[in-house]
Amino acid sequence: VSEPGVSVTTESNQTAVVSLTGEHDLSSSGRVRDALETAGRSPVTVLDLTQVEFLDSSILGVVVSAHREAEGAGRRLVLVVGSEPSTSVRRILELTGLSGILEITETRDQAQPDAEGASNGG
Amino acid sequence: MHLIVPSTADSVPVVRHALRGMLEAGQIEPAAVSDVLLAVTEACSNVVVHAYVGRDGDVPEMEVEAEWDADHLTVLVRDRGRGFAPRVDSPGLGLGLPVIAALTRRLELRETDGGGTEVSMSFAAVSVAASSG
Repeated sequence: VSEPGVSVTTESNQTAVVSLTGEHDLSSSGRVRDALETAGRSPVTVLDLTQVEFLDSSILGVVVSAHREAEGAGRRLVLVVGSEPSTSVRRILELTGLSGILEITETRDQAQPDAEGASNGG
Repeated sequence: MHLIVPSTADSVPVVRHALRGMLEAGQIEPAAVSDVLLAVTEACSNVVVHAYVGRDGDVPEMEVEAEWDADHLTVLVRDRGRGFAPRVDSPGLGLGLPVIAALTRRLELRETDGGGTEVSMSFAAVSVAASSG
């Protein structure tokens, strides 16, 4: 069983990355909230869920709050789920219908600021 | 499986890990295990966040019972809290119960004699051993 891990790294003056590993639920939601708040000062926050083994709606509640705050401030919050998200991550996003509201990509590269234009313009 | 744990956030993964141990020992299909663990986690979180709001004193408890036979699993999550009283200051998205309902074959919520709530979740839990043999 994997303990919940939360880390924040700044990759550039544009992007901060919050990486979650292991299993996340109500017991780690405060740490996730704090990490997203710290990272939220950057124009783009990448929430890396590729190493997450379990995720519940407590965490998604925190993510949705951070998403709303980011939107209100003209910033972005992007979830990176990998090409094969864990069953748990896929399931909770599907069941809550939040995959249509949150910005979700497969890779960190796709979440970078210049990736948007690249994918649209070619 | 029968667990009585403090109604705190730290108990949520404890319950999940215990239940996972039981399901994996029973060789339940991994996809079914994942759904059961998510539903039970949501039910336990509901107890921690809602059941005992405004109550002072000792840390209250939640009780989890799980019974499994051949292809059927029932998990009960019980508290002795405030029952079904609506809450206007709910901190979450209110997604817990809809998620549980989507994951269960049958979901029942009952008020218990002491005024608390019992959430009864039934799942179709086919074991790998049974389905392959």
